Amino acid sequence: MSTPKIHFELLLGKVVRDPQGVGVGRIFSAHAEIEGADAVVREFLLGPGALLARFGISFPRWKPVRVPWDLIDIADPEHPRLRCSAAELAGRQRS
Amino acid sequence: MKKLDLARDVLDKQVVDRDETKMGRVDGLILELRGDRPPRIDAIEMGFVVLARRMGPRVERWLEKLRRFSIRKTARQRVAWEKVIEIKPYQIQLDLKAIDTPAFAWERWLRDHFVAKAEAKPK
Repeated sequence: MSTPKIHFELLLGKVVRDPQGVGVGRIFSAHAEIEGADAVVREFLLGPGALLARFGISFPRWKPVRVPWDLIDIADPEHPRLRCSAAELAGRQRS
Repeated sequence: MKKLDLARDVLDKQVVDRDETKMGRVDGLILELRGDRPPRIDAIEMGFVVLARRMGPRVERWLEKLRRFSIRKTARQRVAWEKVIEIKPYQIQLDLKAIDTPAFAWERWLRDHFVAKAEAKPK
């Protein structure tokens, strides 16, 4: 049985919303780790801080919103969905 | 464990073969969704139709139709991630020969229709 596949470049710039429809930011990148011959995606980066990070710019006040892979549903690249609420995600970012 | 920023370190990077011959850029990345496990990069894609997809599905369809008149018969070239040998800040090296791939369709056509004939002509 083949697993679903998506085009990563179609995710870029798409707004991620939580189950209540609250937007948490646009996807601007993702971090992957090399594990042997595989490259495994660990987290997605959202928000203006993520866009700046692509150019190597970092501001303390504009940090990227980091969403672990298991908290985001990207099966539909046009409408990526958070699996938790925006408030829960914000709480995780602070901790 | 090496970390990659997919948008900064992989997408749009120059692709070279094992002899460091340029063969295009990474125009697309295919992610495999594995349910309870984290997604993995399945393949990289190259081709102007792949790039057009980023501008919209209509542009992709339009260029796909135009491609039929092109020498290059393959709209998109997909290379499995396992073929990646090395990722440098300025290029990604693949374990294959560019001349054997659709990326060099124009070069092969020119070689077969012009260069070979020019060399065959008696001097």
